[in-house]
Amino acid sequence: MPDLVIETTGLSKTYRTTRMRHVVAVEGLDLAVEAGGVHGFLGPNGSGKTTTIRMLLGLARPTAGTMRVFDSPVPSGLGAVMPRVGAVVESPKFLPGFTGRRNLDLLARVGGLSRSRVDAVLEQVDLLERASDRYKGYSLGMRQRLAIAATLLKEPSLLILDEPTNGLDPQGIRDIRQMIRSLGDSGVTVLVSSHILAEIEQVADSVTIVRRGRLIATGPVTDVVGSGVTASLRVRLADLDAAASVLQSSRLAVTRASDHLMVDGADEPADVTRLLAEHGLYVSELTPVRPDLESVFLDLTREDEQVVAS
Amino acid sequence: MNLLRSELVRFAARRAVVLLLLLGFVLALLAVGATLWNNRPITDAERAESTALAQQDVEACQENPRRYVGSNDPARCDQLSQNLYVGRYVAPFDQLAADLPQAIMGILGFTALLAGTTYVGAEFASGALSNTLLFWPNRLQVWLAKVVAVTVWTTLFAAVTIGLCLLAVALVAETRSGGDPSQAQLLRMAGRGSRVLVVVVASAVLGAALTTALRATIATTGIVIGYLLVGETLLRAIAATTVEPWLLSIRVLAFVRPVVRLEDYGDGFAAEPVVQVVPFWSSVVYLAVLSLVALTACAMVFHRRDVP
Repeated sequence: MPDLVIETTGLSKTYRTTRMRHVVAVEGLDLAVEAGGVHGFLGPNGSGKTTTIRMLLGLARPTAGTMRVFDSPVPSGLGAVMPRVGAVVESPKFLPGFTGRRNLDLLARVGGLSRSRVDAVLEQVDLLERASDRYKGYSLGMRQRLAIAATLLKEPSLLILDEPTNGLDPQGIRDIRQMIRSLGDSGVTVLVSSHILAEIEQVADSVTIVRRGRLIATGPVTDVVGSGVTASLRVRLADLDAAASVLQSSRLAVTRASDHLMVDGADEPADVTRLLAEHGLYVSELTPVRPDLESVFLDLTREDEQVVAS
Repeated sequence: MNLLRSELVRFAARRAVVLLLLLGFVLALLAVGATLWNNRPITDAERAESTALAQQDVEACQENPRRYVGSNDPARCDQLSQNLYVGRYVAPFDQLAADLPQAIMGILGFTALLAGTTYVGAEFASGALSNTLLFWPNRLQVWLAKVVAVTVWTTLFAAVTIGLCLLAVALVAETRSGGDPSQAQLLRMAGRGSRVLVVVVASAVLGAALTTALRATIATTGIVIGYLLVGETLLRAIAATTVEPWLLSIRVLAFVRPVVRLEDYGDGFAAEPVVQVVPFWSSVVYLAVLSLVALTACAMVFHRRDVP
């Protein structure tokens, strides 16, 4: 049994709108996040990621289901858990008239943390020089960095980041990515939600994909990517038309590009070279093109749509 | 204590809160200053001027008595010389000591209510409250810390403002003709002042508590102003005799004064009004129960509701 930092069972959340309609945000979600490393929490906008995170942090009450963080029930055991948890939910949230330092000072005071931690974390996110400026004068990137600084105040064992790179410039995105990766390597469990899949693929060890509040896939990134879409093969050779004809007659899916073919459905790359060689066609290049997380995600969510439609 | 200290700093550091309290302080002092000025003793110059005016009236009356005294007898015009046309009424100390705390209560109560509401509303609007809950997840303790912070600061504010206002009234009264106010008079005024302080602090606390439940400054101010301006007017229009003694504003008045007599003339032609007395102690119990129920309900709602 792996050591689970986050575990939800049958977690559901239904909102009542002002017109007394019920909107299901999360439906029977079973989420498991193992200790250590970076876990990506993926889903399109409105798929229930933020609601799930808010329930885990005690900011929203679940309609049904159970949650455990560090093996303590949530929300009843949050008092024991929260000193070990840092989180940024949606956009950074601070008092606009206060300086960055003052906002962190107040949080440090609430958490009973040393005031010296404030400058340390401000330096860690490269915000020390602007710490005495009012929060409302901060750029989006600076606000995001201040929010991350707030999460680091507690030196957390679990860090929950909801869309942490929203509004950041490329340099800022890279800095955050590196920080997430190094925290994950240092033993901190990082749960990072995002809809930017390429970003998650670069930093995450494992992922959970949700859609419409329901779990679609979960596991190590390599497994999820491997289980989703089979690898395509890029094939280069002199006579593309003859090769396409041979491969299609063997019931392989072939897509013709200007100088190569994309072949899908082959069990092994060697089957393609053997088949072509038997017809006097010799490949000059044969490259497996692995699916990325984005294609798997799109594939999985498309299947889900088909299921829903049917 | 860490949480409470943080809330005390948050309250005092909110610029809107400080400005509202400062506004209340200035308006209260202005109200006291204006009242004292309007009730200044009649000077010899004013007396001489009014005597001259009265004499002019007597002379005009003697030329045409029917127009002034409704009779053709010029001798009746002499009664006009007894009138002093100063044009203002000078209230005695007891009346000032009774009316001024009520006026101050209106000003300070409203600004304190807005301050308490703004303090909590800003935390919801900015999302800072959810940040606090990430560091201190016990919602009831967070709620209590906010209520205590509001109580501490508004008590200080109200004590200083009301104290200064009443001190000014007492000092000015001493300098005026008619002698020093008696010890009993001063004690009565101090008693009213301290009850006004309780009302002001309660306004701020209820404003903050209501906002923890309603989650928006505008919602709380809308409900409070709506109740006071529209709700009570409607209730009075529907069943004045039955409902009026139970209105919040009447009970607050009965607590401060400390008794209110309500006279109902029915359709306006009754010779003798129906008199209802709203006593002090029943108002204390009424307000205490109402406040307790409201605070408990707000704490429960804050405990259960999602925090944006």
